[in-house]
Amino acid sequence: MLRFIILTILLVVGLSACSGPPELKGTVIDPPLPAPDFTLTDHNGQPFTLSEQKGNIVMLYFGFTLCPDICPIELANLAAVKRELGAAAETMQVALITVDPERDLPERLELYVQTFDPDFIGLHGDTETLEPIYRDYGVFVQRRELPESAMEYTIDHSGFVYLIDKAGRWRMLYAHNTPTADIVSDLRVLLRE
Amino acid sequence: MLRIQAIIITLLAALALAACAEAPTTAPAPAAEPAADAPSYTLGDLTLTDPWIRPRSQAEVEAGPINTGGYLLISNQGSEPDFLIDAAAGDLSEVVELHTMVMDGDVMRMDQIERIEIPAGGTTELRPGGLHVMFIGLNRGLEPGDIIKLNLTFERSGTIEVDAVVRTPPQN
Repeated sequence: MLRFIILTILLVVGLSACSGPPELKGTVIDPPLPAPDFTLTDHNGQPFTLSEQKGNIVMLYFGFTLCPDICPIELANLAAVKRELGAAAETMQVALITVDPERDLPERLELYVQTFDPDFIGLHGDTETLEPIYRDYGVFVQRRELPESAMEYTIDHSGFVYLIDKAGRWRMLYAHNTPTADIVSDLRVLLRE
Repeated sequence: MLRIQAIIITLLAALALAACAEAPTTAPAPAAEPAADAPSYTLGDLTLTDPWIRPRSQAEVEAGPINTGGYLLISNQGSEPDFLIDAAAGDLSEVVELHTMVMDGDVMRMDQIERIEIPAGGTTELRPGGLHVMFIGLNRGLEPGDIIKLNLTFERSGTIEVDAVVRTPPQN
């Protein structure tokens, strides 16, 4: 938790301390980092390796299907972004990485992500596979018991969207609920690369 | 483990400091701006406006326990606070709870709460990303356009049945 607080503070400092390329509206990772690679299983049971997606922009979001209403807001925003981009979005892939591997079985992930867009994919794996990915991307994930609630437990999690560019570099970071117009504007620039 | 954490902190710190951009203008969750013709209900001093529920497909329901949220705007013209203490929608779901969502930095925390206050002379909005009625373990799918009979019970004003419409929320 301390780590996360520090990260948040530094992000805020980082954001306020500088002004970047005027054409990009999200948080630019400058210089871009090689995106930490991983292999997970998509909702169709096929392996999904990030480094094999070069040529596409990959938008990663960490969430879960029982997420009350923060995840649906973000995924609906990303679906709106894709609709807005139209044909230009053909080289963009939106992927939800589960933070609740216990409950998010493939069929549920598939139905969930496809509620938002038929091209979105849900990625899952076992805890041992997922935890290093959370760590690599600085994702805060914490299971919390809800003894009084029928949900039994929930997952507190951070809500950034990570943009991996066509060269496989971690290029942008978007805070939760960044206006879709900002993301569309950035993608119009980055999809042309 | 400590060493790894230190590396991560350093990496992330470097990242954060290197991240030069216009700060994203984070907007609040789409507000439930009730349309002019949004249905409105009166219960004592309370006015309930535009109750709605987020859709979930029948296929999702069949794939295992699934939840959804219900939202509305409640204003209180009285001189005493009132509290939403219960919500019920027949056999729509196994359980209905009142929940809140708190943003702690960039971490969202959902919590069950006993009651939702509508302050005297004030308005409380149940909306995506904030306070909501949580339908846990849906028994059937909810398609846009469906109407759900929702019973809302307040500590002072009693119970009212409203028609909650199923619809997708607006994008920001």
